[in-house]
Amino acid sequence: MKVLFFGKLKEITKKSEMEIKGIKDLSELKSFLYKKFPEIEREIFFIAVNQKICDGDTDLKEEDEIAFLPPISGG
Amino acid sequence: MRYLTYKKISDKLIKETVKKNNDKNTGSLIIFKGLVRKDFIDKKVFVKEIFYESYKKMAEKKIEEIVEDAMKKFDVKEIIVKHRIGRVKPGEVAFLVIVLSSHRKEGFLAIQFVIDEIKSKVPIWKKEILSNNKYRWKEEKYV
Repeated sequence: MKVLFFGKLKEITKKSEMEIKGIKDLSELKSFLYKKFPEIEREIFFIAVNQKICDGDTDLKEEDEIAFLPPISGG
Repeated sequence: MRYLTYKKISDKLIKETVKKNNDKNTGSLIIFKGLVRKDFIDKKVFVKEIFYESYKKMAEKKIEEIVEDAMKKFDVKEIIVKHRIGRVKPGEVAFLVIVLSSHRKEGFLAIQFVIDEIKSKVPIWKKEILSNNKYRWKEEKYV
């Protein structure tokens, strides 16, 4: 699956995207990323799965695009 | 991209867009331009420019949804939206909304709705580049 980072989160991970395999749901993905980038856990963010905001846990498929989004500040 | 643009939002673009969409039955044309401000952080340091980052694929979909929603909710003829991404200097237009309608009341309601929805739901982020070459991310709205 493709994982995308934006704004401050991109600076923390030093990556705009990564390819991750073998993750079954959002909780597992978050745990994986918190271990790899502990600073993320202290940030406020939202998660979009295939461009839709996702509340709570959800199953993930290999072809999904998961985006980590900081609070919005457009306009 | 239909709504996001790296190019300057000029008055020429606004005029051409309005001309193309005006069917001569329009009684109200409302234009909102959101400009980048040269805000002072303290006595010496000010905002030199803003870098707009976006999750482009989602932002385009989200703006489309908001425009469709507004077209259903309000009696308006046309809604035009443009949002800059990349570097924008103070005084330049970062965000443009144009609403054409038969009557002004519905036009004003629609434009307020579209502005508020876009500012709070579309994945766009501002990074303020300061005159001392430091920067800070603006984090304002929570989805």
